[in-house]
Amino acid sequence: MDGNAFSRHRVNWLVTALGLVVVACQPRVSATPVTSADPSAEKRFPHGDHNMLACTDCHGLDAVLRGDPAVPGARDHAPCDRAQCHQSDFLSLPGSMCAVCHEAVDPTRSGGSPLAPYPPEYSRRVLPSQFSHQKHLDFERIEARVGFHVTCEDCHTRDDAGRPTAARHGVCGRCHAPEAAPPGTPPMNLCAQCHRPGHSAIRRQRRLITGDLHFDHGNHARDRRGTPIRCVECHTASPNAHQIGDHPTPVTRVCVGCHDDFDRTPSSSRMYICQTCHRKISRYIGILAPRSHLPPLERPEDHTLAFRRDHAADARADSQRCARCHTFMSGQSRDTCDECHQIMQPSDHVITWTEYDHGPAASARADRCALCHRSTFCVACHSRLPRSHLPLNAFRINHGLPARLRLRSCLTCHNPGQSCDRCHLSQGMAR
Amino acid sequence: MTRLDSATAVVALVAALTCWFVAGGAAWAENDAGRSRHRATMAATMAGDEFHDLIVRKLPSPTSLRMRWHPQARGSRLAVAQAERRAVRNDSVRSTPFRALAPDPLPGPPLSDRLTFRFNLGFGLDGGDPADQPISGYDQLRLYYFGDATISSRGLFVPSLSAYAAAQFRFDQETADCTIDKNGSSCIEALPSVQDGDGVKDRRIRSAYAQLDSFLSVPWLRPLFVRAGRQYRYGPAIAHFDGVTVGYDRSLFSLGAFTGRSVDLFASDAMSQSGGFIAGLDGRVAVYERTPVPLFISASMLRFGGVTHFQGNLALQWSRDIAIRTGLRTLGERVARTSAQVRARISEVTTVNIEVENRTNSDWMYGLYAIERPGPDAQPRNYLDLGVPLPRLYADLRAGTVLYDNIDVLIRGGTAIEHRGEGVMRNPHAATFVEGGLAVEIRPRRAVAVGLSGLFRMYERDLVQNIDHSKEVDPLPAHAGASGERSFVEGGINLRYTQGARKLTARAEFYGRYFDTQPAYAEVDFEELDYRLGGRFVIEAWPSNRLRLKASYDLSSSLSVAPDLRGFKSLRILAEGQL
Repeated sequence: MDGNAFSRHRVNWLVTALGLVVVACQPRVSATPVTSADPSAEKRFPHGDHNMLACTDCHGLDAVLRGDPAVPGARDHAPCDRAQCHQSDFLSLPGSMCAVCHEAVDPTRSGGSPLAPYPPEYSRRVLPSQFSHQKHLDFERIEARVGFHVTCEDCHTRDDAGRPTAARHGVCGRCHAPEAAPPGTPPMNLCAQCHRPGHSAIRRQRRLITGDLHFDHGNHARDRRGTPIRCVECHTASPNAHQIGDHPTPVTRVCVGCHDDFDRTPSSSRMYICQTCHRKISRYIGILAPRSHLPPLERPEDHTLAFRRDHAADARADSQRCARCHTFMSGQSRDTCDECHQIMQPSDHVITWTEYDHGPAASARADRCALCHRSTFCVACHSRLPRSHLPLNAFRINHGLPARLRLRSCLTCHNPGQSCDRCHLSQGMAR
Repeated sequence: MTRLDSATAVVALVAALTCWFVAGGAAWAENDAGRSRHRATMAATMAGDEFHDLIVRKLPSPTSLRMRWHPQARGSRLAVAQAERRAVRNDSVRSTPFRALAPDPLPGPPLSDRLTFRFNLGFGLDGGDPADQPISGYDQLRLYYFGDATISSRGLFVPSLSAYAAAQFRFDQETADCTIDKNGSSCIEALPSVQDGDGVKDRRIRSAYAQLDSFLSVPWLRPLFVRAGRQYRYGPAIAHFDGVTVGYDRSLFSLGAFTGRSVDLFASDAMSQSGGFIAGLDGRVAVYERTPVPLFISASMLRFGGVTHFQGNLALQWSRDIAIRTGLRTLGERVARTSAQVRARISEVTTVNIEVENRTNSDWMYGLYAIERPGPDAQPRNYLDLGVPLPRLYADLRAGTVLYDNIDVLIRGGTAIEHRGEGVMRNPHAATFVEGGLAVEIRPRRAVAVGLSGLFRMYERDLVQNIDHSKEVDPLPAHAGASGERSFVEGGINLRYTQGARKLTARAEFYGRYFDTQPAYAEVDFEELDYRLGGRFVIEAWPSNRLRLKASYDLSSSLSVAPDLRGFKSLRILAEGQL
């Protein structure tokens, strides 16, 4: 082994050894489940460090069943100030422990020490519940279990201002109280049945009504005619949401359906009045209305210019979706391309297309023509004399100029050896 | 291995084990310390004065309203149905609902959901003003009536039966006394129509079939379907036939077979291939449905005119929105075309498509029904002779997105490279070219859209060396293949006002096209530019949800290639009803 090879082997071994060391020194995954919470929320209160306690150690079960699980510590710092927990911190001078709940601790201040809002804004939910709107809005399923079905407002009750509230523990307890919970459903004394550690945390902040948008649920209880507006009219995806995390916000285009409707929306709140929803109106490029704000049912958002060209896969996958608007379609799930391609023309088929323009396009991409036309469609015209050939006697004499200029057109129908040579060769002109 | 290598390995191993023990031990110690703390905590708690028994032995009653399940609800039909639904979720065969062949005694969906009838009736008026003296027999105006009707039903009489029929008609009304010349042409029309072709019928039935779906109660036979009547079937080519299709369609795989008589709606008697036997087989396997392997395989075979066509595709279904597909098509025993496609949907409005295909000289001329060049049998006219198919590589890229949530953009580019062998005549219809296009649509207001589009194509042509001798009948150019378009440019702008679907839409479109054509002779100087301008105006209104009125007006400028006319016009008015 020469010196270079020796050095190369040494380097290889060293790299391998270094790799082993790096892999072995990686921190091992703890067997204790760790909550996936936002760093800011964890900083305020590290739930992960309290995994060894039962939930009810801090959130009293009676309070949970009452539907109002109080923030721990509200009762004169209990149970945080137990001897085995943080008693020493509470017996010391105010420090970082106090900042978990208080904005400031100042004994000289009247009114006590103000509490910092918890959870922090824009944080993630800690141990969010596993909740399926789809299961709870499946009327058949719920009726089979409890003998009646629930609607949105059974859980999201409205407050005094008519705004639906977030469902809290008290609402869940109506069905999930331990003595009332149907078999197979999680009773509320088993917190982890819903609040499973490791479950993906979701953000708390609003996802749709943000920035300069303003919205009031109270104004959307009934439309202009007085007809109640059902929740599902806006929250269209809610009945199919399986998790809290995949619970989508309403899409803007559902707003358009009502706000462009004379009967349902007063003229002061029509869609074209930006201030109906926006506090600020941006200028220049921002003034362009987003596609989601277009007039109702005008066109699905994915029907872009590119979609007109490349929709085959989408149409094959769900041709029934096409048939909802394109009413001349059968709604069948297979072999439906002809139902459009036999009656709808591409935009480039203008008035001069048939007689003059289609040739170069057909030569370049005959496959495109074959999507709708068979060759006999072409032959039906190509087997007849074009208008330029008539009257034929005159054209026999005068065809030279157009032939010189557009010989390719002639060759589409004429074979020179059969059509042209009869005259050109008979006059003694060799090719 | 040298001693030094061994020593290095041992040191590394020891270091690794040390780290492993240290890290693992630390974690174990941390967990153990936690458990110890917890035990100590519990012990201290139990030993302390302020002991709180947190173990719940008797639950307090909730203070709020309780909803108790109905005891009789368990085991009900609904529960059974729910259990069955859960079962079928795990089995795609059972997920196909059974639809009986007998009439359903229970009231089904409303009739409007089960039966759709749509028709439109209209008339058109085409015209072209003659530039000079009217030509004898020239029909300056052309009036015609047209219409289209479709009817479809789903579970109308029996739940498993659906049907679809589509038909169209067009009748021309003679508006001038036409001179019958010796070639049999009745009138010289301003605007030709396929309807003028010999043997083309005024009324055409495109589809008329009935289909049975999920009509067998045996669960594994529920994906079976039968479709009988006039129908289309897609495979190596589009088959249009009167016949029967039998298929078995599951999400995992499907099989299908069809046979019947070919249908040709526009064939003249001389060229008709109607009535020819046509048959085919197709199948697909979605491997990605059941395995981690993201493959999708499909194959279809078509037998027509004594020739068997085969199309096979292998797709890598990377995800629902990204697929890479390769394809092979044969004509008889020869490879006709190979292709590859990448299709990606990056978002709801952003898509990218890349296509590459390589055609051999065994490919068909135009489509399934013109697989060979017209021979002497087709004399005296060759009808549609696009020459011998030359091997060609074609690549195309299309990408589209929506910028600023408003500006819809589509960009595309493509090239065709002709593989012309040495000594092979250049085909004027199959030149190497490169093309590119761009289309943009902006909505400055919610109801107003402005669109711009452009397309160019540049061809590669040989230099023409034919000499044009004045005042002589020249020989036919030896290099006819060199003639044809050198470039093509198209641009357009359109304005659209809409109050929404099924309300009111008005559209105005203006366009221009320019062809740069290489003449047959070197000396011919094409003085006149071959361009055309035109416009199209469409207004569409829905007086009610079931009635649509539409009027469109097309016009063009004069054309240098048609100096006898000042331009073309066309007015079409139609009413469409839907029940």
